[in-house]
Amino acid sequence: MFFYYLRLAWKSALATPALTALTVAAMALGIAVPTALISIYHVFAQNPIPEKSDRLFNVRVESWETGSEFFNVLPGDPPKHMTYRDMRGLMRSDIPEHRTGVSAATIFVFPEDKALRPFRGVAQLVHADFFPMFDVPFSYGSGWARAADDSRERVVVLSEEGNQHLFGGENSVGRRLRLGEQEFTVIGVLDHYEPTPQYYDVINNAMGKPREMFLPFDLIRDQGLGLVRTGDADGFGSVDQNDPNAFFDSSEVTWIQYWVELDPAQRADYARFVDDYAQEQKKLGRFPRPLNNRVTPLMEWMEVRGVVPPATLGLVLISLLFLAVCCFNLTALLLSKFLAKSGVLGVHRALGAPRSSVFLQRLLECELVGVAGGLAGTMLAAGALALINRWMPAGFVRADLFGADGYSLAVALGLAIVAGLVSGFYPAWRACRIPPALQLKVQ
Amino acid sequence: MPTLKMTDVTKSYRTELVETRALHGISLTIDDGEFVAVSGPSGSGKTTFLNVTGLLDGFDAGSYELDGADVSKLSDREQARVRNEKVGFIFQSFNLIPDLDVFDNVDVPLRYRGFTAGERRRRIEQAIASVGLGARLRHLPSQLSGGQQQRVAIARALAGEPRLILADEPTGNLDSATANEIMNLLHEVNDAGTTIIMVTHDPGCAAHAARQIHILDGRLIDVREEMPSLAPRQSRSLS
Repeated sequence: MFFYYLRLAWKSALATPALTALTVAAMALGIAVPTALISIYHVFAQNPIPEKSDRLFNVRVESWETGSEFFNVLPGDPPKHMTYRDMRGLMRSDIPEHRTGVSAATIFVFPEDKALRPFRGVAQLVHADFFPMFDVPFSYGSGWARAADDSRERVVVLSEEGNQHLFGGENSVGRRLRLGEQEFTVIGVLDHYEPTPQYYDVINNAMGKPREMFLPFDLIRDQGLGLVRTGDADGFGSVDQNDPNAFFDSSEVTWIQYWVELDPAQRADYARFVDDYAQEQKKLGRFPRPLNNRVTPLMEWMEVRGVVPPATLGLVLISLLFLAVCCFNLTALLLSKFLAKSGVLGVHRALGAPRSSVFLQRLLECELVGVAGGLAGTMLAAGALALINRWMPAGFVRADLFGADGYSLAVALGLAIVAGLVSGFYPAWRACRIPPALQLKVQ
Repeated sequence: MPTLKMTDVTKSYRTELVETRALHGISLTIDDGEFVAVSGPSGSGKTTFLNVTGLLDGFDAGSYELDGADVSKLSDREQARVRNEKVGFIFQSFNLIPDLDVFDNVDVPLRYRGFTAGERRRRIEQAIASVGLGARLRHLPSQLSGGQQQRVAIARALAGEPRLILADEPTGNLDSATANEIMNLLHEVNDAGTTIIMVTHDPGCAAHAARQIHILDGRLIDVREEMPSLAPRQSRSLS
C-alpha cells in the first residue's frame, strides 16, 4: 500500500500545482540555509583520516619559562608547538611506529622550464615517516627513507599541483629542480591529496591548499640553502646570533608541530616517556613549570585548536530555528489544503480507508513536498556555498573548500524528511480526525 | 436473513448551546435483496440515517446489526473494514476523486480490500463494463458527463460486491432522462440480489423502490409500505 499511497500523494500534489510549488519553495528555502551551514560545519569538523585518527597523536611539552606568558592556547595548556631540540629529544623514543615534525619554510624555486619565472615557494618540512604515517598517496615514486633525514639529502616530493606547475603533470621522478642554492632530485609526486582540514598543520594552514613541495625537515639547518622558516612561532630568551646552530640547539623558540603514530594502548607508556624527557630537561635547568605535557589524539587536537570557528555552530542552530519557522508556516499551508480537500478524504473513508490510512496518505504527501524541497534546497545550498567560496579571502582557504556533495545531499534529505514530518503531522492528524460524514458534506 | 436491523437508534448533534436530535429511536429491519426508498423533507434526518447505516457516523443509543453482526461498538479500523466489504456508496454529487481516472477511482475500495493486482483488474473491468463505460477507463471525471460520472460511482460501489448499497439522492444532479438510466441501472443491481437503500426527494424515483420509508423530524413514521411489484418495471419501461 505504501507505493499506492505515494502515487495518491503525487497525484494530489500535482492537482494543486501552485500551492505545491509554494510549499516546495518554502521548504527549499528553509532547508538550503541549514544545509549550507551544516556543510560548512562538516568541512571544519569532519574526521580527515577516519581509518587511523585514533592512532595519531600530537605531542606538546611544557617548556615555557615562569616569568612570561604565551598566547593562543586554552587555559592551562602547554605551548601549542615545540622547539627543534625538544623534537629531536622526543624522536629518540622507539615507542611510536612513526613520528614526524611538521613546519614550513620558504625557498626560491627555479623551474626547469625556462618559460616559468623563478618564484618563492612554500615547502612543508617533514620527516620521512610523514608519508606512511598520514597515508599520503603517490602517483609516481615515493617519499624518502629515514636515512635521508639524517643525511639531509637533497630530495623533494611534489604535490600533484606542484608537479603540474613545474613539470606539466608528467612523471617527474628523477628530474632535477633547483631550490635555493642547490639542485634537488624529485623522488615522488603525490596523487590528489587535499585532506580537509589539513590536520597535520592546523596551526598554519588548516584550510589552505597542501604545499607544493615536501622537503626533509633537517634541511632547515643548512644555512647556505636559502630555506627561511615561516609560520607561527613563540619564544622567549635569546641565543648567540653568531652561532648558526644556536637557534636549533639552544633556543626556546617553539615552531614545530610534532606528531607520532602509536597503538592507542601505548599512549600511557609514551606519555610517561615524554614526562621522563621533561624531567631530564628540568635537571638541565629547563622546563621550570610543573609537568604539563600532552599526547593528544588527532580529533581532540583539532578541538583544542578550535578548527571549527565558534560562530559556526551558533549559525547552524540559528538556521535550524529558521527551518522551524518555515515548518510552522508550512503547517498552516498544508492544514488549509487538507481541510479544503477533506471531501476527498471522506470518499476514501467511505470506501474503506481507516483513519490511519488517511493519516499516512497525508503525511506522505507532506514528505513528498519535503523531499522535493530538500532537493531544491540542496541546489540552493550549492549556490550559496559557491558564493561563500568566492567571498573567502584568497590564500586563506582553498577556492573549492565549500561545496554541496553527497554529505550535503544527505543532510538536506534528512532535514527534509524531518521537516516534512514536523510540518505535516498536525495537518494530517487533523484531516484524519474529521468524521467521514462531515467530510462528505463538504464534497 | 435481514441485511440490517436497527433497534431504537438515537442520534443527536450537540453544540455548546444546543442539542439537536436527528434520529429518534429508529427501529427497522431490511431484508436481503430489498430495494428501499427513504424519503422525507429537508432536515428530516434522511442523510443522518444513511450515514449511520453506512457507519460514516456514530449513534448515541440503540443497537445496529449489519449482515448479522453487531456493529454498534466497532473500532475505527473495524468500521472501515465493514464499510469496505459490505457497503457500497453512491452520492448525489458522485464524489469521484478528481485526480484519479475512471479505472483508478473504481480501484480505490479494492486497494483497501487488499485484492491482488490481477483480481482488482478483473473486477474493475467487469464493473465498468457493467455500467457501459468500458471505453472510458482512462478518462478523468472532469472529462465525463454527470450521468457517466454517476455510472462510474455505481461501478465503484459494485466492484467490491457489497451486500448493501446506500444511495444518497443518486439522481439529484441529473436530468430526467439520465436519472431514468441510473434508476434502471440500480434496478439491475437490485435484481442481481444486492440490497439497496436510496434516499430521495423525488417521488418518481421513490416509486421505483419496492418499499418506502418516510422520515420526519428524525422519526420513522411509515414503514414497509408495499408497492405494486410491477410499478418500478412500468416506470423503467417508460424511460
